[in-house]
Amino acid sequence: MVSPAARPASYEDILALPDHVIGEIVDGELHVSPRPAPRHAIAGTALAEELGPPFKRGRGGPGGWVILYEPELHLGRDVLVPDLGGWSRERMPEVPVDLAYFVLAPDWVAEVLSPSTVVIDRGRKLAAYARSQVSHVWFVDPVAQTLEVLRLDGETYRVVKVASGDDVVRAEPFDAIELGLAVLWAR
Amino acid sequence: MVSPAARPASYEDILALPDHVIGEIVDGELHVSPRPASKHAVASSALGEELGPPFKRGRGGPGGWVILDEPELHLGRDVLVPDLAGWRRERMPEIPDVAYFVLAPDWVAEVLSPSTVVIDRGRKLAAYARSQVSHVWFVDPVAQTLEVLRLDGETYRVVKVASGDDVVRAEPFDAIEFGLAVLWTR
Repeated sequence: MVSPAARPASYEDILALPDHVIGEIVDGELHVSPRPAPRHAIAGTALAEELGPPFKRGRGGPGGWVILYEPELHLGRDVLVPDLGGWSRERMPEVPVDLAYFVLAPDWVAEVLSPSTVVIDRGRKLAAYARSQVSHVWFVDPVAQTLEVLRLDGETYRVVKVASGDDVVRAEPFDAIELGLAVLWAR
Repeated sequence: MVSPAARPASYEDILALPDHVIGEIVDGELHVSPRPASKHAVASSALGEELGPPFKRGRGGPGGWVILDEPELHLGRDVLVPDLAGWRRERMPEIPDVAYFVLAPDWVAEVLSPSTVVIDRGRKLAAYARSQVSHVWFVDPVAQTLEVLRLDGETYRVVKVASGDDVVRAEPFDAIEFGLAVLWTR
């Protein structure tokens, strides 16, 4: 859903939304998404479970990351809510808790695609992440069962890996571990 | 559909298929796709119609391209059939009289469908990169998006994503403005 483009949307527009939706502002437009459907939630949750222990906790992996579910990012004039966001500890030694949102761009985001968000995820949100120099973007499509790994190079992203189904992959920036995709689709 | 990986698939496997399916070989595996569904056919036909006159015929555009529907490409050991492919005339002055093409195109368009999206975005994209296809367009008729990828070294960059009724200039056909709405018009 896109608001009429009468005036640029503001954070107040997001605060006025009911709790059961996610509000984002991209290029001055308010975008309101429903809460994720089950298939979407399964993939997002499983991804956090796979990456959290090795990269947040250093269990079975190098640690060194903050990884959060649906962080609200205020990047320039955009307000973005990726399914997952990750910051290297070097850039975010401590998670700031005095703000309701993050102004430091993450190093990595994962967007789980759904029919209602794919256009903005692949389009304007990707462009917004590039503007904020987010190094890696993952697109997870739970219907096609694909993982696309994009790496920022200059002002645009390169597609550096596409995996699917039950592939076991090493995917930047989390290539210190092997990630079996099957868990992302397991019901 | 993927064949059992007992032996690498060969061109004979494709020739043995019935006419109503499309056979491709990627990384030694045979992939068989049904003929495109209507939404898919609408988008690929409209794209050919938009690009053909200005870039093949020089009508309302610079010309200088060969653009073909569903050409069979033999690139290395892969056999690939994109929805549309284009070659710059300087690389293909004349269309060779053969059953398939061994010269990699400069541009391909893949119209995505649920049964092909995994291979289109995955192994076919990797195969196009190996053959140094400069530009790949992904057209998703369900999401109504156009993604423009440009080869840079060994991988593709996403250089533009447009949707709905956007009017865009999209490489390598950025000599014209092109309204996406026609791709989704039934």
